Amino acid sequence: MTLALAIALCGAAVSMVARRRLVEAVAILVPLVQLALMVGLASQVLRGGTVREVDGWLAADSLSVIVALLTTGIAAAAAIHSVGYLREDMRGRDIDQGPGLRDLRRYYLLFHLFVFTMLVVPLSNSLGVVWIAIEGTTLTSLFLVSYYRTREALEAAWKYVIIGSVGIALALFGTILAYYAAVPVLGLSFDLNWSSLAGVANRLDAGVMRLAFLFILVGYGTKAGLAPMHTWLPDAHSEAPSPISALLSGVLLNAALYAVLRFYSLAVPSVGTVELNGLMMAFGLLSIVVAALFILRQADYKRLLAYSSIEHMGLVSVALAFGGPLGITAAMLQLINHALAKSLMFFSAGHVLLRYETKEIDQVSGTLRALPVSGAFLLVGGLALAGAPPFGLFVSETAALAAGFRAGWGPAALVVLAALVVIFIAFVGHLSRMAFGRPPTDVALGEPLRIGFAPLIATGLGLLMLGLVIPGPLQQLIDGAAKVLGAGS
Amino acid sequence: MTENVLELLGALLLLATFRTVATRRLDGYIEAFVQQSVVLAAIAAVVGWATGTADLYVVAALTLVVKAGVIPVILRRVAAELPTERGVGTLIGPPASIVLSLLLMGLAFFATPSVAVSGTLLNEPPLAISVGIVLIGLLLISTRRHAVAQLVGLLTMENGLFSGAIAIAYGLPLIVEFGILFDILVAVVVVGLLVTLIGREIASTDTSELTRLKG
Repeated sequence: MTLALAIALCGAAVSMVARRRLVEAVAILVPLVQLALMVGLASQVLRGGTVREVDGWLAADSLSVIVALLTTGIAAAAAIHSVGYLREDMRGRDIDQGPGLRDLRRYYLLFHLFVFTMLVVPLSNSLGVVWIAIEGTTLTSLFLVSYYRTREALEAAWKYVIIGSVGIALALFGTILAYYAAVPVLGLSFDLNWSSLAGVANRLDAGVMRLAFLFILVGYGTKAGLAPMHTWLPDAHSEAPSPISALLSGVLLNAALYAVLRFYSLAVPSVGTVELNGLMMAFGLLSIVVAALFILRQADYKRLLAYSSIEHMGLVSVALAFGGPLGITAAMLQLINHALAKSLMFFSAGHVLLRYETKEIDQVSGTLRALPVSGAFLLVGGLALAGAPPFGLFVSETAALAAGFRAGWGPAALVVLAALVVIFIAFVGHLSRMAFGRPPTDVALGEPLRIGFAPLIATGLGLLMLGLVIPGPLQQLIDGAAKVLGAGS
Repeated sequence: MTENVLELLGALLLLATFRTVATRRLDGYIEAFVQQSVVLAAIAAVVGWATGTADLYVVAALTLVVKAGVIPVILRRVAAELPTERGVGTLIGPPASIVLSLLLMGLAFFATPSVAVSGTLLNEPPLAISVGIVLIGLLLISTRRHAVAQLVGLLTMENGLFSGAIAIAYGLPLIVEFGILFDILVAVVVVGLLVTLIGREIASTDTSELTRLKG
């Protein structure tokens, strides 16, 4: 874990000084090495339970490992996509020296730091450090969101930082309350580690923990894009460069949701599942419904994807709230599938944006002809994202619904089902309009970015695999995470 | 004795917070924030002395250096770089803001659960004051148009939370407090940079002009 965090910082340092090719190579290499390290960590966790490093400051269990694997995996894909995307985006500018190189270095520097902060979240043991890292994600990604420095991008960045900081402040209050709840049990000087809190979670004061979780849910929920605190999300996701949109959607939202889940696991033993699940259900359902309404009448395809992220964060919350081993497993699967599908979509949408130079759905047509590979991935990925078989999201969404009906949440499950149907129809409508027909005459044909195929294929294959079979080790990790989140108790 | 001193400091903290909503000048916001931070540092020191928690002295010193020293300098620099025509635009004026703040304060006292645990300094921890300050910070963010004023609102929220942490749990572990202060400092630098960028781009830092993204 220490090594994985350290090389992100080394990568950041290299990006400040190196030549362009080296900067790009390091950008791809660092997350790949991190991914390999996380796979190693996963097998360690599977063999021996919670792993601790650096005097207990870092700790990982099944829940952390799942999030860390996703973080590094999506980061690696986004890095490869970035190289192609930026080269194409900055064509006509000299990117080997001068201001072009400076912009490029700044981008990769922030990229490494952003990934670093998002990786600290699942790997840190101290809830205070988790808070600091999540605030850090806002600060490092702020200038990536405003990368294009247009008026809209700056507006999005401003909204992002103000709303995000308010949320973060509320989460700090939740963290303080959790500390306060633990002081009578663990004494004044304990260090706010979740691994020590987990052992005494059933002895914490229920009233204080309930209040703490409410603040955490609203606070980190803001960063996770849960309605009604989601208003920054569509702006930031649509104005950021596409690889960053993929990171925001596929990784940052998970990191924030991980923090909520961690507190959930600490609050369940004292408060009980009924109240906590009620809260998760309320925010989750609202997110799904709000997202469905905006998806229905969306005219901008990057915002379409952003609202779909809100929908999926809602689905994860709702699946968790349905509860039981099936519901929690569905929630974890949904988290993984959404990260894969959404980054796939932002990668291919990025290629479309580079070629068509517009984000309006109406002005894009014939992507299948203009961009045979990316266009196909956009269409198929969109179907997968909307929940069509044989992809992963179909499995996790049906599992979630089954869990809902089984647990007696019938009406809520029906609302979710209705929203999913609406979203499916809207998605297919929007995407088929973009995919078929003739491309506008001023749009050149052919794929500009062969290097960008790799992340598309990787995420696409992952999505297909999870739709057909869940590999044994992953199943074990998910079972472990379900245990952490209180399944079976 | 300690109890009286703390009550006095709590009142001063509130007073400084009310100054932020009462002012019209940009400097006024920054001065009020400095005042607030100095009082906060004093509270940390007094609680540290009364409970014998040495960590809180460090927290007090850090608060003084970062919040009353470095951050105001940065805020002034940002404020100086931005064009401000005739004071700071507000959606609602200071008189109405004060009335609203009083209402919020009442709400805080009414709604904050009594989470007193035996062994704390005051029988009724002044958590309500902290919650009230947080709410007033939110009010500032949502009703002030100038970016620096919104920033002070955010910092006010954070001060409220800090006072809450000290009041109910004698502060967080030192390393966490240190990290949080450092983070706030970085946040102010970064947001200051962003504000300057916006200022250059649209030659006005009135955030009410940032309304193009909808739907």
